[in-house]
This record gives sequence, C-alpha cells and structure tokens, in this order.
Amino acid sequence: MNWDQALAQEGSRWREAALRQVDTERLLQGTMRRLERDGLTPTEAMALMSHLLEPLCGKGAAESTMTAASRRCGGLSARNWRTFVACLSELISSFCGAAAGRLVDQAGLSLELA
Amino acid sequence: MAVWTSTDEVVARFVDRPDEESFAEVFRAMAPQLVVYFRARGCEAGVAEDLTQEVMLATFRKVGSLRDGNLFRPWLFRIAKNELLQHVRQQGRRPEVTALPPELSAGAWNPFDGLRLGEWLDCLSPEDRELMLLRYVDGFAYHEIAELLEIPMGTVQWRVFRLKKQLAEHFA
Repeated sequence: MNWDQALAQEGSRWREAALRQVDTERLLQGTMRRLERDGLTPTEAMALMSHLLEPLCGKGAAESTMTAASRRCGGLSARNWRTFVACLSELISSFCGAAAGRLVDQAGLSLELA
Repeated sequence: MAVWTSTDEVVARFVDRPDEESFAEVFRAMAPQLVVYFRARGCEAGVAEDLTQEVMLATFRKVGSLRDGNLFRPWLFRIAKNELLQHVRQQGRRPEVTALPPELSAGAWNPFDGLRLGEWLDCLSPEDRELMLLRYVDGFAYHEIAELLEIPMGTVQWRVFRLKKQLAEHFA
C-alpha cells in the first residue's frame, strides 16, 4: 500500500466532512460587523493614509515615510496614533510642503482607531 | 501536496494593501482551512467557527507586522495555534484532539482497512499527531510545517518518513 497516498486520501475525507456545513459568507459577514463595530485598526488606518499619500509623493515614498514615522514613534498602535500622525505630518511637510503636511495631520487625526 | 487551491495572488493583494476588499478575498480562501484546522483538533463546529473569526480578525489587525508575505500561511496558523491554546486554557481542559467529528464516522471510504486515521493517531505522541495533522489534514508543505513549528525542514521530512514507516509496520 502507498501510505502517503492513503494518508492524503484520509486527510481529504476529513476536510470534506468538516467543510460540509461551513457557511463562509455568514462567517465573513459576522467578522465584517465586528470590524465596523470595533473602529479602525492601525493597519486599516495606515492603509487609508497610504491612499492619501500615494498621489502626493508616490507609492515608494509613501511607504518609506510611513515606516520612518512608525519607527520614530516606537511602533504603530492605536494608543500612539496621534504621535504617529504628527511624525508623518512633519516628514511629509519636509519634502512635499507645509500644505501637504497639514492635510496629513487633519486627515490622520480625523480617523478613529479601535 | 497542494490540497487547497492556490491563494498566492489573493494573499499578495491582502499583504500589499489590507483593505476590506482584499480581506474579504483572503477570508474566503483561508477561513475554511482554519475551520478544518480547529475541527481536526477536536473543536465542535460552533467553537471552530468562533475561533476562525477571532483568527481572521487578528490577521487583519496584525498583517502589518508580517515581514514576508510568502510566509503568510504559517504565520496565520501560528495565530490559530495560539488562539486554540488560549481557548483550551479558558476551558480549563484539553480538547479531545483525537476525536473524529461525528459526521466523519458514517459511510466514508476508509483506506486503512477498518482502522480510521483518528484511531491510528491515538497511538502517537501529541507532537507526532500534530505533525501528521499538519501534513495530511491541513495540507502543509514541508517547508511550511518547518516554519510553523520552528524546526528544520529536514527534521520534518525525517519525522514524517519515520511515522509512515511505523504505520506500514503497524499494518504489516
């Protein structure tokens, strides 16, 4: 007997039986509701900020600026979001101008984190 | 031994840009795998679904800390493993890790000539049992198991080989 094949087939039987009653869409909807209720995560907030920054300074610069700001404020978390936004605003001001820096500041502080 | 449809593109999109749309895609790809993971370790269907949702929420929140998108699956299942351990601690007992879900016991073809995988797994140490579940039920590649368990890939290959030899001897 080919044991590797036999084990793979038995594993497949397990998977099929376990998956028979899974309603992935229902689970997804439940998870999405939790995310909405909990407010933005730092990751989501970062994603929104990158949407704002990319047209201003390009994808690469946006990413490296956010990484630098995150490092400067000791790692990104909901608790130090304001510090992060201040760092990011300062960095953006230095190479995109004061108006862009103010925009980043206002947009960042308008986000509510969980 | 790819047992799940490739999720590379979906995962790459999510890691690169973790928004609601990419999260929904990665959820559809990974949630069934997580349900299977928890069910194979003795969780009832409702518990497996709750834990899956917790893991996917954590994934969304922590994806920024993932350094290498190629290691997404081991990273995700490490979160799952921790979630399961936490659940077990809260329950104050070890789940029946060798118990087959009831729906598996009826009418399915059994390649072990009367002995089901769960019964054979009963004879193994918890470490060996986990290894076999990761390989044959969760469908992990050797390098992914090595990453998940933080052991060299050669060790994983050797241990799986040894277990298959044991199995063959058991049924000889």
